Amino acid sequence: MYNNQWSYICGYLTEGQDRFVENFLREAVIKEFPGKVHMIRQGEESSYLYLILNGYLETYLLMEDGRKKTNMIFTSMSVVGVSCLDEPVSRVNLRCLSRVKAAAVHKSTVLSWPPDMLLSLAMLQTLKMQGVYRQLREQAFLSVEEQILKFLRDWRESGISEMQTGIKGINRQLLADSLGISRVQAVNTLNRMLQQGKIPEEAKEFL
Amino acid sequence: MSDRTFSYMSTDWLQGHEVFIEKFMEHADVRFFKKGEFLFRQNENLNELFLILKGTVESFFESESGKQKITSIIRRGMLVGMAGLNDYEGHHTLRCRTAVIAGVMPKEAVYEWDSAMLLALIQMQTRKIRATYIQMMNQSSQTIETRILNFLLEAGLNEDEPGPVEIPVSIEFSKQEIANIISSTRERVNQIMNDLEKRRIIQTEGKEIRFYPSKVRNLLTLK
Repeated sequence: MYNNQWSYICGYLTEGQDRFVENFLREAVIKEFPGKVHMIRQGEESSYLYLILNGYLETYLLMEDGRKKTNMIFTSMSVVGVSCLDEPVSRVNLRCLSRVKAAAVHKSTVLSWPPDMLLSLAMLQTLKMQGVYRQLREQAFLSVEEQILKFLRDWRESGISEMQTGIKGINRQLLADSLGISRVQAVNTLNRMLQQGKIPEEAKEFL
Repeated sequence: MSDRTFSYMSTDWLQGHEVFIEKFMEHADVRFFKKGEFLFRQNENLNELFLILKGTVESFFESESGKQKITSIIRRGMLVGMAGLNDYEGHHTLRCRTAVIAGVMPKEAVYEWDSAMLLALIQMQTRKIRATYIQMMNQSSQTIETRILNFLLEAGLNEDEPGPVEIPVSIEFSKQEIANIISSTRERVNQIMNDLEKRRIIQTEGKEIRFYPSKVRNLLTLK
C-alpha cells in the first residue's frame, strides 16, 4: 500500500474504492499514449476524466513567460482530468512521462453518475487536496535539501522505477519543476548532497 | 460565479450555486464565532463542514518551531473542513479574523448528498487545488514586490460592481501577516511597503493599508 504522506507523486488514489474502479472501467474506453505526449493541454478543451492504469504523467502549469511548475506526478490508479467538470477549457497540462495506458470517461457520463460514484470522486479529490497542502507546507517550511529528500522518498515509495516504463532515474528538470527551483539549483544542490553523504543509499539508484 | 483566479484570497464561488447553499443550510446549524475564535485547529480530527456565510477566516499552517504560513484568507461563500471527509486530521488551523457566521454540518451528512451537491463539492475542491498550485508557482517565480502587489489586489477585491469613479480600497493586514501569506519575512515586506508608500502607490496607518487598485494594477503591468 502506498503511504498517505506523498507530496509530489500521487499513486494508487483509488485503493479501497473497488466498486468505483469497476464502474469507471465499465463506462470507459481504454486509450494508450506514448511517452512525452500531452493528454491535455492548457488552454484547450478537455472533456475526459482518466483513470491511469499503467505508466506515469505530470500535471503542470505554464506561465506567460514560459516558466513551468510541475504540480504533481500521477502514477497507476489515480484519476486525473477532473477539472473538466468545472471548466470546459483546461488550465493545466497533462503530459505523459512514460507510455501511459488509461481508462477515459467522457464528462457527460460523469455528470449523470449516481451519488455513490460522485462521492468516491469527491473523496479522491480530498486526497489530492491533502497532498497539495503538504507540498505547500513543505515549500513554506522545508529547505531545498529537505524538499529533495522528500521528493526522493516519494519517488521510491511510488515504485515508479520498478514499473515497466523503461525509466529508472529521476530527470533533473522534472525534479526542479516539481520543487519550483531552477535546474541549475537542483543539480548543484543534489551534487552537494551526494558529496556530503546526505542522500540515503536506497535513493542513489534513482539519480 | 466569479472566474477570477485567486491564489491568496478566496472568491465567492457560490454565486450561482444558490441551490447548494439552500440544501446545505437545510441540514446545517447556524453558528456565530467571535473574532479570534478557532473553527478548527491543525492536527485535530475534522468532524464538521463549515460554510462561511459572513465574515473572514484565515487558514494557516504552523511548523513545529512555531513559524506560520497563512495559506488563504477565506471569505463569504467558502466551504471548509473537507479534509475531514477522509478521516484525515486537519492540515490547517482556521481562525476568525472578524466575527463570523457559518453554516455547520456534520461531515457524515455529505454521504446523503445528491449528485448536484456532490458535483458542486468536486468543483470547489478542483478550484482550491488550482488556487494552491498557483500560489506555489507565484511564490517560486515572482519577486516579493510582485507578490505583495498581487496580494493587495486580491485582498482589496470588492464584491460590488466597480462604479464610474474609482474609490480607494482599505484593507487591514499587519506586515507580519502579509509576510506569512506571501512566504517572506516581515523585514522584507516592511522595506518594500515603505518603498511603495514613498512612491505613493499605497498609504499605511498601523494595520490599515489604503490604495487605488488601478495604481497597483498599473505597476504590475509595468513589471
